[in-house]
Formats: sequence, C-alpha cells, structure tokens
Amino acid sequence: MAEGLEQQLKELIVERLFLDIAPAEIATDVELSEYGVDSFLLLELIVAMEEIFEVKFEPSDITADVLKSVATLTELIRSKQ
Amino acid sequence: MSILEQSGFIDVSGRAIYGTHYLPADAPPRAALLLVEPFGEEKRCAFRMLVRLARQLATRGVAVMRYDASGTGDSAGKHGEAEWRHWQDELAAQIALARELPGKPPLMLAGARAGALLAAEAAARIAAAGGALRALILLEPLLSGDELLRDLERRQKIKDMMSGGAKNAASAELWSAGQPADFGGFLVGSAMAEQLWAAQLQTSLAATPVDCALQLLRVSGAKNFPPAWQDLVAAVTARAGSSAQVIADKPFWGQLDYYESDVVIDAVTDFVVSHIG
Repeated sequence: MAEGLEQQLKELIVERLFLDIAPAEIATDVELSEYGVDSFLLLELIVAMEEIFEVKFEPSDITADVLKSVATLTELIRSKQ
Repeated sequence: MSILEQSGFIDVSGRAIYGTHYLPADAPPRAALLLVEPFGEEKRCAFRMLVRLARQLATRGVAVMRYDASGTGDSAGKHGEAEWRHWQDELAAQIALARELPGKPPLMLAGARAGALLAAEAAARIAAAGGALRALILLEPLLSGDELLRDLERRQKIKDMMSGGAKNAASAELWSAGQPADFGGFLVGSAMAEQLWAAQLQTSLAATPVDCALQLLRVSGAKNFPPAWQDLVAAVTARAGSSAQVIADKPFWGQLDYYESDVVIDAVTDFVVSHIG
C-alpha cells in the first residue's frame, strides 16, 4: 500500500512540478531539494497533495522533517488518511 | 499593427496610482481590457508574461491597461498600509478611465490569482450599477481572500524552513495586535487581512452582468480542475459564450525565475479577440 502511495507521489511530483526526470528516478529517501524542488515548488506540491490525496496540511506540518522526501511525505499522508 | 505605450499617474482619493496603457497606434481600440495583477511575490513572477500579454492584445486592436495598486510597484503608499477596499476603489477609477478611451470600446476585465478576486468584485459592482461588461477572464484565480492569506503564510513558513531563519510570529497574532505580518518582504496589515477574509470569488461571480462572457483558465500539470473548483467551473460553463480550460504549463505566478506561458497568452488573446464582436 505504501509503495503504491510512494509511486503516486513520485508521479505527482514530476507531473505538477514539471521536473525533467522520470518518476522512477526519484529515490524515496533522497531530499526533494536534490531534484530542484525549491520553496515555490514545495507550495505547489502541498496544494497538489491536498487535491489528490484529499488531506489537509496544517501549518505544523510545514517542517524540514516532514517536507524532506517522498518517504516522509508518504508517512504524513498515510497518517492523515 | 504597431502599438503605443503610455505610462503615468492618476489620483485616486489622494493616492497616486501608476499605470501603463498599451494602445493600438493606428486606430481606435476595438475593446478595452483592464489587467488586474496578482498579489505580492506572485505579481513579480507574473510581470513579464502579463506585459507580453498586454502587448500582444494591443497588436490585435485591444487597449490594455495595467496598473500598480497602492502600496505596490510605482504607486504611492506602503504595502503594509494597503487596504483591499482602496484597491477596489483604484480598480473602479481605472475602469472609469477605460470607459473614456476613444470610441468608448467595450470593456473587459482580466485578473490573475488574487487579481481575479478583485476583478470579479469589480464586475459585480458594474452589474449593480447597471453597467456593461463584455468579458471577465479569470487566470488561475484564488477562490477567496482566505486562500490568499493561507498561501502567503505557507510560503513564508516554507521559506523560513528552507533558510533555517528565525520563524516569524504567527500572522493572526500580529493582526490582533494591529501590526502587519511580513510575507517575504510584502507586509500585510490587519485591515487588509480583515477585508480579504470577506472576499469570495463565487459570490462575486454570481453577481456579474449576466451577458458578460467568462473565461476560466487553470494552469497546471494536472489534467483536470481541482474538486474545490467544481462550482466555479459549473458557473462559468453555464454562461453563454464562456469557457473553462486546463492549460498544461508551469505556474507563471510561482517560479523562482520569470516564466512566460505562451499557451496562456494565446488562450487569453484568442478569447478576447473572439469576443470583440
């Protein structure tokens, strides 16, 4: 189940942020900044995650630990679903 | 068609408001379009694309007017003291100016992001006054003032997080104390925040002139409109001569570098030209 969510998240990141890589190239534990995700793109990603996964990000969720990687985001989304 | 660009100030209740007109040089304009720009950092990001849009429309015979609301750009005032109701008045003054263009061409409004909220409010006021509006264009609109404030807070929190800088005090606490909150150098005062909480796109849209054509553009990697836009899309598509479209392109208001979407420029141009009549 988590693998499916991770895959969905990787596809969402590439699609919404117009990254010039394939979803499979995103490693689950690597920091998103390594793929060029900056502050503008992070906000875009939060909005996209809320839309697709029907979750709500609280201000307390916006931390370096949570918005770090596909793995940490997957964990947060699962905790909210 | 060659174009003429004229910049200058108008006075709105003692505030000097700077604007630029992009005019067809060789003939009276076939339509007048007022461009209402996004808020804060998003305005900066969208600037170049909106100027290109204005110039392209002018070559098609449309007089386009861009302006800086008070406290922004080259207009008078401080951002932290700006108020939404002042911005409404300033837009109304620009509309009055557009109505005086040679030949009194039909009026259109276009707003991007928070500018769409403001433009829709102005359209509703035009209807209330019995005035005419040919078209209203909503470019990736924010659905409410509350959404704008939430985005500003989130973006600031992300910036603080990424820079490892000191956290700003919670904006709600600052506004309660009558102080402005700082969003990436763009101060938002308590009056602006309070007035923004009342801004609702859907409410304004329902009150726009019934014969005003609507164009709704979502610009995103998504293939569909978000669920939260369902009522908005329904309201737009129910209106004669209107369209709602998802454009697959980068957010022109939300990139670290300037980003100009040719697809958005062409989509707006096509819609405007098709509604000149």
